[in-house]
Amino acid sequence: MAGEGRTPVGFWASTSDRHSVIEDVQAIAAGSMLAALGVTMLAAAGLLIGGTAGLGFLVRYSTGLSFGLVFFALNLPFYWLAYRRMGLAFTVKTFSAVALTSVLTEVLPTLMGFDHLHPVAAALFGGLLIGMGMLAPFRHRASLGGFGILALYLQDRFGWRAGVVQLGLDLLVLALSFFVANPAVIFFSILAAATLNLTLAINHRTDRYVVR
Amino acid sequence: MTQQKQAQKRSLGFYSADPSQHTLLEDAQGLVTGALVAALGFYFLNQVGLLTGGTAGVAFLLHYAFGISFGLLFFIVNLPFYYLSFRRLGLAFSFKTFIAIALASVITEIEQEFLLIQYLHPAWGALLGGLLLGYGLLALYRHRASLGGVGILAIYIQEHFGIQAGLVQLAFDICVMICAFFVVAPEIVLWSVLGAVVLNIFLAINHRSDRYIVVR
Repeated sequence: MAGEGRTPVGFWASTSDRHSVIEDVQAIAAGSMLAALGVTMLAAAGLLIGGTAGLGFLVRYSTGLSFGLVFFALNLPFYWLAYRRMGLAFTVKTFSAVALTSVLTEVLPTLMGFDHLHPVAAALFGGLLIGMGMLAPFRHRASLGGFGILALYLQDRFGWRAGVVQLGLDLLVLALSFFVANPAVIFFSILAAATLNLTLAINHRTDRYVVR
Repeated sequence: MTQQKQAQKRSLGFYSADPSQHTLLEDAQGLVTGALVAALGFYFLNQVGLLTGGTAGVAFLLHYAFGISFGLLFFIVNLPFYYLSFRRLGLAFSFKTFIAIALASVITEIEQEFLLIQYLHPAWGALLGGLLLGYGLLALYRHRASLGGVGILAIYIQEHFGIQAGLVQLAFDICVMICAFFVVAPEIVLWSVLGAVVLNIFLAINHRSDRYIVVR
């Protein structure tokens, strides 16, 4: 029974309907890494994005505070909602993912730099990488920030697509971006946000990736 | 009846109401996404002079040895494998794989117009490159496509003998890395091994057809 879903070399264990701890750890590490790379590319081109990360960019561009720190701090209020609605495991995993992403977005720019990064490439790759980065924690019952938690909660409770809910919140953030960025930057930022949210809306389906 | 109800419930599900099937549009975004992310991985590896496994590894070997463009080599090295792919895995798989490889080859070549890296430590190049390739390949695998002959061989072996695709690739990659010692500096080979290990562990853990349940 327990061995039914096992793979021949399944030392990372696990039946087909449950993730083991080590699987959750690698998903959070991989997702945070990809998201941090996406953030680094957006920042290198001076673009913004939606979500609490977008708020992080807003604060960074308007005050010069570090993105990682702001992103980490902005997400703190959402853990209460996460704990109340999604449980302890979700909250711990999400906290780890947000903390790791915050640290990596601070460390990555010291390890790699861009000579030239076209805004279109930054928007497409940044949006795509953050989208795929978020998909991993989503599928492992975690998230990468407050809006994601809210969106996941709304999807579980009312069946609204997480991607669509985030799009609404992101429009709000982008409206605020007009105070810190010029129209060209806003345009490419919208491209990035659209790429991110399409990636999530198409791919985040609990009926396909069936693990809890 | 139940299917109808499910379809109605998903008011925004204009892409596909059936969880066990990808629509054409979903496959298209899967291929484009996978190819884009994988091409970024190739690009990072290329920028720091690293290699990886599989047919891409063979293409990197030839690229570093003779200075021929990586994208072109990658496209050519994969050509012989489409026969196996067509015979064993069908037309749809072969077609999607051909598109993915062609896209990845072209994107890797044009990327330098849009994206130039100033500095990148080989360790991070290896880690990020491996991870990006892993993500890209995972997206392609889940949409029943691949990114190269060894991937095709590996999926064939997984489906027929139950040996995980990630492990088959690891064996081939070890051969590529041994050859790499003749072409690039030893420490570059070591970092390349790190990248290939990241890639293969990522795939071995995450590519499971019992979890991502789409059948076609």
